[in-house]
Amino acid sequence: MQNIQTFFDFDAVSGTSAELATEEEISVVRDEFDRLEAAALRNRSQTVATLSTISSIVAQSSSPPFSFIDPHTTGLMAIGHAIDSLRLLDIETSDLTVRGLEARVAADLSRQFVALAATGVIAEIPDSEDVATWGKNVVDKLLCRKEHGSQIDSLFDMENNRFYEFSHALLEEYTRSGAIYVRPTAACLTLYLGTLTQGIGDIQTALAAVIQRQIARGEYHAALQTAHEHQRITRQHGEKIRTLRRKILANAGRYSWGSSVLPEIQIAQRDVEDAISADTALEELLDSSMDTLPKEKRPLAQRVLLVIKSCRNAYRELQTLAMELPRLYSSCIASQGFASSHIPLPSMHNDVFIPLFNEVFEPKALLAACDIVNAVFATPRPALLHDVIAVTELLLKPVSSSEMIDTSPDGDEMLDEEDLALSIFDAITIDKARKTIALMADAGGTRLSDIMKALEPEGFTEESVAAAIMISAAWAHNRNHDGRYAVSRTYRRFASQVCSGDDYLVELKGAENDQR
Amino acid sequence: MISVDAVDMAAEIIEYGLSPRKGQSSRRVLQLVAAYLANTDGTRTAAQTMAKRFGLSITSVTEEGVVLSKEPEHDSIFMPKRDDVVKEPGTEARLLRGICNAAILACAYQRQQALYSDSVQTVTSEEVYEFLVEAAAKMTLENGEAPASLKGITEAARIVERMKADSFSEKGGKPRKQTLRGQIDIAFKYFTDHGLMLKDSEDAGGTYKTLPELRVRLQTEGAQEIAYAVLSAVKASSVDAAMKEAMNG
Repeated sequence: MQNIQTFFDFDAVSGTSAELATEEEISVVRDEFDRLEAAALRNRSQTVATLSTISSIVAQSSSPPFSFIDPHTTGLMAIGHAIDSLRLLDIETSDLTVRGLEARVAADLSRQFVALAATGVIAEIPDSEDVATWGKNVVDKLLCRKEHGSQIDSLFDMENNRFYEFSHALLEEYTRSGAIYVRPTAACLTLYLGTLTQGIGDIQTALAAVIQRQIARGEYHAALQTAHEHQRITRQHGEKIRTLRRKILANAGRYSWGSSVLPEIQIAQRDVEDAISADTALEELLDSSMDTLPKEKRPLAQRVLLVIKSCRNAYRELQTLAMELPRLYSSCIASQGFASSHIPLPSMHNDVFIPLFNEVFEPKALLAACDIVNAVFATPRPALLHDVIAVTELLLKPVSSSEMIDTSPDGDEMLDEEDLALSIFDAITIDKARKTIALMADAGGTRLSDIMKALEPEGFTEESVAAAIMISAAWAHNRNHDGRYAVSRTYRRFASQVCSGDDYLVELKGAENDQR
Repeated sequence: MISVDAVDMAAEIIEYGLSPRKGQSSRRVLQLVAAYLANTDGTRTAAQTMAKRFGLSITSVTEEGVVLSKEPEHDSIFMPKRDDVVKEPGTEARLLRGICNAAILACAYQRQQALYSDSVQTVTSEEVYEFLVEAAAKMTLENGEAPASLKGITEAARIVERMKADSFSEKGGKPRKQTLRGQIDIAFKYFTDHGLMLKDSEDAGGTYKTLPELRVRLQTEGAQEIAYAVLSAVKASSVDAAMKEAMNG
C-alpha cells in the first residue's frame, strides 16, 4: 500500500536530495516514473491502434484506377470534415450526416481523379457511381463497421499487467431528431490533434504561450495557424469533459467519489480555468497591440482575435459544465438508486445469449426466458378504437396523391402478405396473374384452385389474389376472361392461405363446347 | 398550481411517447423536454399523473425521444397483448422470436460498454444468421454426436439446426417465413415497427441501426430483467436435469 503514491507526492519526493533519499523513497520515485512511462506507452499504443484504421484503407485499393488514390489524405480529409462539422460550443453535436460525409469523400476522390487524368496516369475519370461507392467504403472503414474489420482491439496495460478492450473507430454514428449523424470519436480527436503524452490542459497552455510569442514578433500568419490548432484542441478538451459527464450519467455508482470522480473533476476545472486565463491574456495582448499595428496587419490580427474569443467563449461553457459535475454526480447517485449503481449492466452476449443458447436444455424453461425477452420490447401502443363507422369513413376519405404512394422504407414481401386488404396491385402483379392464367388455360383448361396452388407456394400471394378476383369478376360479368377464355362455375369451393371462394373452370373458347 | 398549458404539454409528451415515429420538430421536442425537466408550471407532475392513470410510467424524456413503459402491477390499455407481439400462436413462434431477439441484441451490443454509450450500433440480418448457425454448429461439434441426431444439444440449438436451411421466395428473393432467415427478418421488423431500430439499407440481408429508445429500454430495466430470466431458466433447467438423472439412477 505504501507504494501507491499520488502525482503530487512524487513532486515532493523528487525534491529531496539523492543523498538523503532512503531506499524506500527511491523505489517510490521509480514506481512513479514507471507509472508515467506506462501511461505514455498506453497513449501511444492507443494512437497506433487508431491509426491502423487509416492505413487499412489501402487494402481496399485493389483495382485501378482506385489503386492510384492516396488513401491517407482521403482518410484524413474525411476525418477533417467530421471534426469541422462539430459545433465549437456544443462539441458533441455535428451537423454532418453519414450520407453527407460519403458525398464529401466522393468529391475529394473526384479531385484526385481529375489530377490523375490531367497527368495522364489514368485514361478517363471513373463513373460518379463508382466514385460514390468507393467513398462509401472509406466512410464504412472509418466507422469500423463490422464487415470492415473489428472495432475493438485487445491492448496490454503495462501498469496493471492486464489486457483491456480498446475501441478504435475513428468516427461514430449517433441519432438526433430521428436522423443519423456522424461525429469523430474521442480516440479520433486525440489522434487527429496529435496528442501523445501531454495532458490537454498543458498543451493548451503551451499553445497560448506560442501564440503570445508569435504576436510579440508580429508573425500573425503563424499566430492564426496556432490559434486554429488551439481551437481544435478546445473541441477535444470539450469532448474529454463531456466524456467524464457521460461516464457519471451512465452509472455514477461505479465510480467512487474520492478516488475517481473528484480528482478528474478537479483536473478538468483547473485546466479550464488555466485556458480561460490564457485566452483572456491573449485577448488583452491583441487588443492593446491592435492600435499600434501597421494597417495591413490589422485584418489578420482581428482574425486571430476572433478565434481566441471563440475559444474563450467555449471554455466559459465548459467551465459551467465542469462546475456542475459534482452536483450531477450526487443527483445521479440519488436517482440511480442502489440497484443500478452497484450492479453493472449485464452483457447481452455473455450473460444473455450464451447461457440462453448453451445451457437451457429444458423447453419449458427456455420458453419462460424467451417470453421475458420478447416482452421487454413490447412498447406501449395507442389502444385500437373498435368503431366500424369511423374506420369506414377513414378508408373512404379521399387521399392526396403524395399519401397514395407507399413511401414505407420496408415495403417488403411479408408486409404485403399481411396487409393484403389495403394494398393496390401494381401492373407487374396483374401481368403475372394474367400470364399464369393464360399459360395454364392454354394447356388444356384449368381450375382457379389449381392456379392458386401454382402461385401461392412460390410467394406470389398478391398475384394469386389478383387471379381470383379476375376470374370471379369475369364469371360475374360475361363468363369471359381476356376475350379468349371461357369461365364456368364448378359449384365447388377453394380455400388458400389468404382467400377462399367459388372455384371456376377456365378454358380456351371453343374448348368448352367440345367437351360438352 | 398546474396550468392548462402544462397539461397540454404533458399530454403531448405522452402522445409523443406512444407514437415515436410520428416525428416532432426538434424545436418543439426541446421545449417539451425543457418543460418536463424543469417541471415548468407542473408539466412533469401532470405528465406523470396522467401516465400513471393510464397504467404507464415515463422512463425517460430527452431530446432523443420519450420512452414509456408499463407501470408495474397495473394494467394498461396501451400495452400490447401477447398476440400483438407474436402474431403466430404457439410455443414454437415464441421460442423462435426469443432466440432471434437475443441473437440480435448480442450482435448489436457485442461489447458490454456499448450499452452505456449513446453511439449508434449497426447489425445486419446476415450477421445474426451466421451468429446463430455458428453457435449451433459449435454446440453440435462439442457434443460429439452425429450432427443429424441432435442428441444432447439445447432446445435453442435444435431449433436453429432445424430451420437454418435456406429457402427464398421466387418473387423478390426474400427468405421464406418458415426459415431461420425469415424469422430473423420478422424479429427485425418488430424492432423497426416499434421505433427501436431503423432499417438503413438492404445490404447483407438488411442493415439495421439501433435507436436511442432500445438502449434506454435496456439500460433502465430491460437488460437486468432479461439476464435474470435467463439465469433462472438455466437454474430451472439444471434442477430438472438433476431430478431426471436421480430418477433414472
